[in-house]
Amino acid sequence: MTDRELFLQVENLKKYYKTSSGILGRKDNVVKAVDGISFKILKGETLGLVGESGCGKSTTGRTILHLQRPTDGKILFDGADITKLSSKALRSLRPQMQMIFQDPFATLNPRHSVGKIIAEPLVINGIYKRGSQILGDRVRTLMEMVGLNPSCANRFPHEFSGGQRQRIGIARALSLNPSFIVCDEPISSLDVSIQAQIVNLLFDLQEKMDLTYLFIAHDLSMVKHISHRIAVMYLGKLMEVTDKNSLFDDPIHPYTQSLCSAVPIPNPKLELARTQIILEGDPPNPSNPPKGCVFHTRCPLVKNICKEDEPALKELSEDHFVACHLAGEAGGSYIF
Amino acid sequence: MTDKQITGSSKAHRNGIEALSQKRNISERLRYIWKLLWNDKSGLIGLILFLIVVFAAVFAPMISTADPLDQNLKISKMPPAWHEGGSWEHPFGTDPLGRDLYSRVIYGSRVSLTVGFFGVLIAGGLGMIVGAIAGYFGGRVDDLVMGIINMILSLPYLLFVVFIAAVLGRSLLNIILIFGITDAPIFARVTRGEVLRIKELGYIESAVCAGARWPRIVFDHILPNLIGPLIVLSTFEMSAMIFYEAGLGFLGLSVPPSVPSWGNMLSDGRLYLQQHPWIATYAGLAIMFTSLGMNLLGDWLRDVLDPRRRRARK
Amino acid sequence: MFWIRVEGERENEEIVMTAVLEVHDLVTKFYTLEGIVHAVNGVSFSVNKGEILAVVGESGSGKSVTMKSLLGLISSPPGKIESGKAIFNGSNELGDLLEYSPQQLRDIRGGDIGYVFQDPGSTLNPIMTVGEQIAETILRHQVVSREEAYKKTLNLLEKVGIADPVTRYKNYPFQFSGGMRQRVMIAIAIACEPQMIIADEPTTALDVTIQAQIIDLFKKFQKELNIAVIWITHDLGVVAGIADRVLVMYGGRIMETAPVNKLYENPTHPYTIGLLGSLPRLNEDGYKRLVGIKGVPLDASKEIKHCPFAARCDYAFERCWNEIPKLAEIDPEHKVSCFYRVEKGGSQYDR
Repeated sequence: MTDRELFLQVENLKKYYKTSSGILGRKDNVVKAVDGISFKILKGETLGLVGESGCGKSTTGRTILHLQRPTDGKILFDGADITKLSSKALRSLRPQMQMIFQDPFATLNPRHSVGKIIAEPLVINGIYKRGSQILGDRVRTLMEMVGLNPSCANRFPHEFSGGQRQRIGIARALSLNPSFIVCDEPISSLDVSIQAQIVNLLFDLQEKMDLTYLFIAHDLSMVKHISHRIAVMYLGKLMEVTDKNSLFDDPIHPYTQSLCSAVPIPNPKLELARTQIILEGDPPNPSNPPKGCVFHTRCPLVKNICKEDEPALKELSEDHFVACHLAGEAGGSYIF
Repeated sequence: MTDKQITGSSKAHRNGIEALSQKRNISERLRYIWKLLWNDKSGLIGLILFLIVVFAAVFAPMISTADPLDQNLKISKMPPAWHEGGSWEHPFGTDPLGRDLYSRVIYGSRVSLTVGFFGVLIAGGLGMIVGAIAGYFGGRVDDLVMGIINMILSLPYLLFVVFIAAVLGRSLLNIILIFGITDAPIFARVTRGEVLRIKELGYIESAVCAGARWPRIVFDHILPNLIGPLIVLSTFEMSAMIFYEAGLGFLGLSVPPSVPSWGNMLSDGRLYLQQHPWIATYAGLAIMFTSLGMNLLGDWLRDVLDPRRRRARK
Repeated sequence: MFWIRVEGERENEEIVMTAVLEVHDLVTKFYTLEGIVHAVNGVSFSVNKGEILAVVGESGSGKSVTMKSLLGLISSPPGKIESGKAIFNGSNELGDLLEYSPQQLRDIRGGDIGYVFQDPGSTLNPIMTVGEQIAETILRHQVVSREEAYKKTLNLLEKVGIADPVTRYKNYPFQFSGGMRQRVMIAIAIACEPQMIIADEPTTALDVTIQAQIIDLFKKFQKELNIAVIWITHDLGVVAGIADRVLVMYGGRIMETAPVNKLYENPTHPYTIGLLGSLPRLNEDGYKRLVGIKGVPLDASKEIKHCPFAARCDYAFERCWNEIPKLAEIDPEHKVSCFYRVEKGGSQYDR
């Protein structure tokens, strides 16, 4: 792994939601969507954030970008804690941190032409004037960069296919020349053949423009393909963080192990022969997380300590962090 | 999750307003509207009825046979033309003061449409602003505004209107103001609901991500999405206002008695329903058809503009 | 990787294969305000007793519409089954599904043919208890008393892995998680011991660990009850794990069909190759750029008289643009509809 410098550091990030139940809305239920996670992202890398539904990965992405205000924790960027910034300072920081959204259909205003959509961030931030020649040129350049035909700038989103709409979203995210992009499940709603196109595009753009990505997804194969390092989340907490090869060659956390074994591999012989670790039961309700280790209710190796104490994320070997009481005992891996 | 695109058709669009704004020129738009109307005949009927009323209001002087204010006690209570004693000079007959009923019905459309249109304008304008603020800012602002609105809406509407009308006196302006203010809460509530829905739409979030501040979000993204539901609501409320004006007129609280309004005509004819039913009947029919037409039109608009009309196929 | 051990070939089992379903030249179109959608354009295939046939395709391929057409689940208007035959070898008789009356189809749905939908959240009745919904299916198709239906339901709930069936019988769908609801749907589908189950993307909406549970369950049933399964999906990983034979669809037509091992070892149609090349492999290290398929999905609103994949194919030549290729056998049980491969004998090692 090449030496990269620190780009962004998240410390003990928390995001709680209050949902009110009861007639008068006074009985507040707290959903701990993100419950104290810490990790770092290095410059120029892609950190993959995986987990199943309800684990809090999308919330993490949105909170880092301050589309939602974090309940607690620090986000250190460029030396400063951005959770403490004023609205105005935050706004001036926004051009550097952008997002690509999951549903390309819903995130493009169906009434605006594609050119207008891509130009919007530039106009909002006063970089170019609406309707100016130079703005038009920039929009066309961006469209070419993402593989769209610039002459289509006057068309509307519904005239494009899903993959093309996602390219529009990417062009819009790139317009402000960001250094950091949060990709929130950018390919989940696309057809398989188109997913490959978009992933290749993201890869190329990263090289060309020295971008740093936080790639949020639930498709483990795709995350492994595109990321350098991967973080696994479960019910608002981090289970394991390490580089991608270590994660799949030597997963330590039981959840990671079962996740890896559950992912379908397009090879019938291997599929037939592999032993799958099939977890029992369902993920618990995020508004009522289990005591101790959040995974203990489904863990095949659960011991008493797991039900009482929450395991901390510890560095077991170089750059391999695991949050499990039982890790590091039998040489760091488990064979079922 | 696979792509939810409608079987690859690039002509997929989500609702009428979007489709219209995406058509390239006027003739395409008109053709599209005609296709939608023809598909749903009740909408067509509603539109026709509505247009008839508008036509009557606009061209009143040209299509009426007499001056609606012209009293002639010698021919009072004359029956309609096809009855014994009627004449084609006064096709619908005359009222107790000898005024031509046909012309009064025609001119009455002016009062009704004016009340409806301006009433909705005021109610819509007020309601939209209040509702949008409540919906957008949420929290305590929302609670406060909605509390007030719900209080107003819990008052018995007709009594309230009657009370104010009795206090302020009879004039067209008063009626319009009353309806404008008392109907505003309904617009506010609908607007608030729509704003809450629109806030969840994905492109609002991306605008925030790009650094947009709330004026831009409101004007560029939220307001255009409100047009659809508010147009639908306006047609229904306009129909309701026409109805209520008639009600007020019947109670003698609408425009001054000499002004030809359908409500006044109902009031005029009330005492004579047994012997000279036509005095009230034609005004009543006019109210009925206008309301019906506007409701049919509103239903059609709602079907066209409702995003849930989208048919997804795989 | 410690948990994957390659053991050997899948064993050839000697089973007498009899076809449960034979579909010939199915054509379904939708007549909408915005134009005609040519959803299914001449699809022929068969399903053998006790086998799992996976139907793979992306959106717009027509895979769902094909299956729904068989069971009268296409709302007509705007949909219309223009032509085709679907001979079903049911428990009572042999008949053409496309000729059946609505009443006959109602008898078959849930009886001889079970259907598992993609989103169990919206296809279970929210105001009926789960037990009632299963029992209702049983009572509808079998002549049994309520008592017996109740007992059978409890049995089914246990079979699909729902613990404490007596309590769960009285629960409503909202009290179940997504995976559990899908188990309920499976229970409903197998309640009357059908000959065949059509599963329309049953695990697409589920988390990957839950998906593994459901696939495991399906495989168990299929073996136990010897039910034929048509499994519709877009996920080639799932297909590798569950299918006996595979059907690859694009543009409302079948591009390739083969037994599962042959398809993955020797993918012949350029579309199949492209699909397989678009997939990142969990078990492979290093970075190999994904191949992908150029272009955009087919627009189903245009009627075409050429190979639907021509616009996106690296090997398309003149004939591909003038005629529609037919399914031709290149290997026992391995059929491809491609001029380049079949007629020209082109191989994937060209270019």
